[in-house]
Amino acid sequence: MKKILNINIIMALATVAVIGYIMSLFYPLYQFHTFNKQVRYDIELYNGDFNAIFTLADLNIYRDGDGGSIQGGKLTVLAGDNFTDQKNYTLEIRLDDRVAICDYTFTYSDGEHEYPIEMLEDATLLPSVGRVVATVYDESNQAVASEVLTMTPARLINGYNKTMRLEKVTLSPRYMRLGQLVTTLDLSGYDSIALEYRYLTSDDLDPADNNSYTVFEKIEGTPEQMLAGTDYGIYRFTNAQRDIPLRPLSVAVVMKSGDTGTVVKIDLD
Amino acid sequence: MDKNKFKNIPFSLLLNLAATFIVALVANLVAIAGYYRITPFAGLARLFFDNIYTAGYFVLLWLMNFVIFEAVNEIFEHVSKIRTIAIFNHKIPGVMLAGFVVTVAVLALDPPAVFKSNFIILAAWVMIYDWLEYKHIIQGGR
Repeated sequence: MKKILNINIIMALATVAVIGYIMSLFYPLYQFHTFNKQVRYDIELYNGDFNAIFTLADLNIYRDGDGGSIQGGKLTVLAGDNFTDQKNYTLEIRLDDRVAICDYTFTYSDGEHEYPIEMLEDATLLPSVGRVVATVYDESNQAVASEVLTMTPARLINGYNKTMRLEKVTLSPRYMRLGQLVTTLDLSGYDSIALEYRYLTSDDLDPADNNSYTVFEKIEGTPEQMLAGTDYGIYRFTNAQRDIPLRPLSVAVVMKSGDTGTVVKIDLD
Repeated sequence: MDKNKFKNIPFSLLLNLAATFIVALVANLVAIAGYYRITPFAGLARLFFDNIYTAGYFVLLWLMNFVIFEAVNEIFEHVSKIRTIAIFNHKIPGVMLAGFVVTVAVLALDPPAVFKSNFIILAAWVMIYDWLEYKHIIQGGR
């Protein structure tokens, strides 16, 4: 009886040792995929009204942890009646008629022009905020025109394989934030790294075959540039590319050194 | 082996599986929610639906907890020398002492958050289980 029990104990301890060994082997993988993962919550503000006096496009508010900011954006004044040439106007964007998140001054010149909104401002913003109103004021603080903006939260995209991850990728009907590559591999030996963002050309084609895809954006650089920890910006879809966000997307990571290259695939979903 | 004990084995195994599942779950949620400063509920999505490696490691941790639990029970049940340990003329159950030592060791060694909370909760559960058995509230398969 005693002998059988001792064998039980030895068996149990051996199993603990084996599982412990497997866990120590897989811990770096768990650590890489569980922690240090940055997520970006993008919300696009947009007014698509054809009767609009002005339009705002490509304006993104992003949240990252506790902070956030407004990025980019283009203001286009369409109907000029309310505006006088060479006068200063102020654009104000308000959330729920309370918090101003953007306060931007521009000088109007006649005709249809685009005014790039360059300012970045800290904004703490909940994605559930209901009403966003953009108003243009003249120099005497009179409201000239006002538009209600639609908030479109961009879809968070998850893309990873065993050793690589694309983080901070978001997809909205009008743009894709390309994110940034993080990896456990040492890529410094390669001459260049290229990321090919691509979509499955047709549903009949084999998703495993690299020839089934159409590349719509390619980003290339040295390993230092690509892994510097800054994201690769935004790709805007043209009208002809409007169905790309609905198609299966993936990224081919092409690592080249000299004449030889390695291609690794990351599926985005 | 008597008949009653044999009957209780499935119950004991199910209880241990459930308990060690909760231990691994709480440990992972504490680590993830603490790291990202999110609610445990949001942590659930990160744990199970974000990627296969995180979810897979959770299962591995659960399995590890289960095996450790069974091994500890086996040892303290059948190695009579350490069933009770005398310290300053007081007889202390070995399991309690071991749980205390493990907790202190984990706090001193300061491993990654997931293991830290996992082993402290596991030690607590081992001690609670032993006490429940001692009070005959539950009967294990032994």
